[in-house]
Amino acid sequence: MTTESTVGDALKISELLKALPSEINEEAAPRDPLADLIVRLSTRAVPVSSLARMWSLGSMQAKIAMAYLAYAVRGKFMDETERQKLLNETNLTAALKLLGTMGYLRGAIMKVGQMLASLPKVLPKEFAEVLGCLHFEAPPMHYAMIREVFIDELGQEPEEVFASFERQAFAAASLGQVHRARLKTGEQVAVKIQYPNMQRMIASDMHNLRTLVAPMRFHKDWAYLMDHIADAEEMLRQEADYGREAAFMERARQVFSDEARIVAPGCYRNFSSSRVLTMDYLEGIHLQEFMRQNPPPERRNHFGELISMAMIRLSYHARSYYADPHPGNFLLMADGRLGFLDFGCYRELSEEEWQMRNDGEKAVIFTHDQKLLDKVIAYGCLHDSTAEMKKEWVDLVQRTVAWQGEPALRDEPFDFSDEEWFQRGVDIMVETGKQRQSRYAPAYNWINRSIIGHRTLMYRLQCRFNFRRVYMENNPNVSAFAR
Amino acid sequence: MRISKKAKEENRGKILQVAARLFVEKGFAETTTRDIAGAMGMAAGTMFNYFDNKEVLAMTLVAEAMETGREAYLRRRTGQEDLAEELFLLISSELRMLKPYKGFIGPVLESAMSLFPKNTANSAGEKSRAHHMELVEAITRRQGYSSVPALIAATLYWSLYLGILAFWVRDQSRNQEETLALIDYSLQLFSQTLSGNSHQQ
Repeated sequence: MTTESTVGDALKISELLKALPSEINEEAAPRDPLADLIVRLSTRAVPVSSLARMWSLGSMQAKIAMAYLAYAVRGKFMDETERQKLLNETNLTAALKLLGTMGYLRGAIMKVGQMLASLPKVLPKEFAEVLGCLHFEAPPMHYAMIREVFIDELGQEPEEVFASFERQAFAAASLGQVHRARLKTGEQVAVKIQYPNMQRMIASDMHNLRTLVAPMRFHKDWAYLMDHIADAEEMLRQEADYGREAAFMERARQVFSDEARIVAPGCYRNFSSSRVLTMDYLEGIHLQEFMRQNPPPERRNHFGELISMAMIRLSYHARSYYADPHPGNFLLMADGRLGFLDFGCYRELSEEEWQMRNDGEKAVIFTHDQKLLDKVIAYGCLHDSTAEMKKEWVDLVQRTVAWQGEPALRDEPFDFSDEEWFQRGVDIMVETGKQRQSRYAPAYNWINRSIIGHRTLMYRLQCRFNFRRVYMENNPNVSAFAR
Repeated sequence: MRISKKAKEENRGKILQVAARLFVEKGFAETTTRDIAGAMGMAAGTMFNYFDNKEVLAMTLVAEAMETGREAYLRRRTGQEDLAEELFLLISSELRMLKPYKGFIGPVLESAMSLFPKNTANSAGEKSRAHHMELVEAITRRQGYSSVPALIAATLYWSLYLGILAFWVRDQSRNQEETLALIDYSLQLFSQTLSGNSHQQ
């Protein structure tokens, strides 16, 4: 077919390189081969994934994501023979086409692309904004679809299950959307409904992702890369199980039961399933709207403290990391309480992982024991000792840990709005990205996402408070470490 | 022996019930008209007074279920749906009623509702198709879509619809949720085409 061969011919590595951000601009020549490919991808039929229509692959950020993906994949086989390069180029062409068929993950990939677009200098504000919306998106559902999901899941139409049900969603959620309703017993509830077929879509995306990175299969870190993908797949699979989320939400309610200022909604199990989650409706606003109102420092600090407290407590009680601390998951209530809304994405640590995490905490915050820290770093990077690791990588991990621990070190208000501090963190993350290391335990993907997500929220809140005090007061390890 | 119209109606209903049970239990291909007549305690010849053959019988079952589904659609319609949503409601209401027959419906639909109908058209299938398309045309008209010639729109729709049915028959996903996503996607596509806006924004 003519179109196919044009696409194939057009996609040479040299041309992909030309499409890299330094040379991409909105006025780019219309015959840009990468753009052409992407436009064609956007018109390609996608089997079951109705997500396709949501993403315009002709957009600038998509182009950038594609170009970077090409660059990243290519970087893995820089030193190989011409023949191998050609082969990889063919694989890459296939891989890029495949990216066009990804439903659920594509959104996240595009967002990363958007952020990478500002390399080498990522500004704190851009970083914070992109991280804030770096979550996966499902397409919107009309009411007729909601009704089918309800009959399948709860055996009745929404208007039979509830006294009233708002047909328009009031919020988007990971994997679905949220509707307001009233129970027949009078309670106001929020009903989270999952877009059909998400579980399988995730599986299919992950399958595609594996194919996408297949050109790297001879690389020494291949096995580690596969571990990360398997781990991510498991996390996403868990996130798609609302029954599991309901259980964690109930657990969180217990954790916050003696802290009236933090509210986790109650779950109504009789009106919930693995695809529908009915919970208390909480009234409040999200961070963006809060900041638009120019709140005084005390209020910003207040919510900064509460978000920190909630995350710290949950972490210790459930031996897990809340890996999705984006603004939409926290509700700032008029009476000063904090609503903690979404419990779908958390990573539980194994006994061994938790022990190592505690050792790391002890070394960084309490004892400043370099030997212990090195042991933890080696463990995290799947080595017996840091001596086996590249010096630059050890150094970078040490700087990452130090940056993350900084707010907990000083017993005085920490200024999370400090541009210099946040920029340092962003630079470290950008540098980490460039190192393209995959030899480390997958749990750190989520631990880092949790900590960086928290620091980003604090930065966006422009708050300043004694983080160390909050950390110590809510940390059951303190007494043990103090000994 | 002449039997009353009422008794004839009752017999017809019973034959349909027995046939549905046998098709589900034994499969469509393995069930003969003789089996059905036997289970009815009826001579095979008598059964032909009601249905010409096994295909017509099966299609009648399917057509009646679809008709019940279309009645459900009319009842469930809120009047607030846009084109894609209203068509979604129509198809999903039909499929829900077809669910009990999912196990044997494939070959039936293939012979009666195919894009390439046989010379001897199955009248139950034809009637069902005609009624479904009347509703679709009424929906598109009411929603104000007229830029694409009606015949083209109808043909396009029918091919999408048959594709959905074929997919649904083989859909093993939980609650056939893959089909729900497929219907959604297909109808958005159809609605974009009708509005002359087939390019993504």
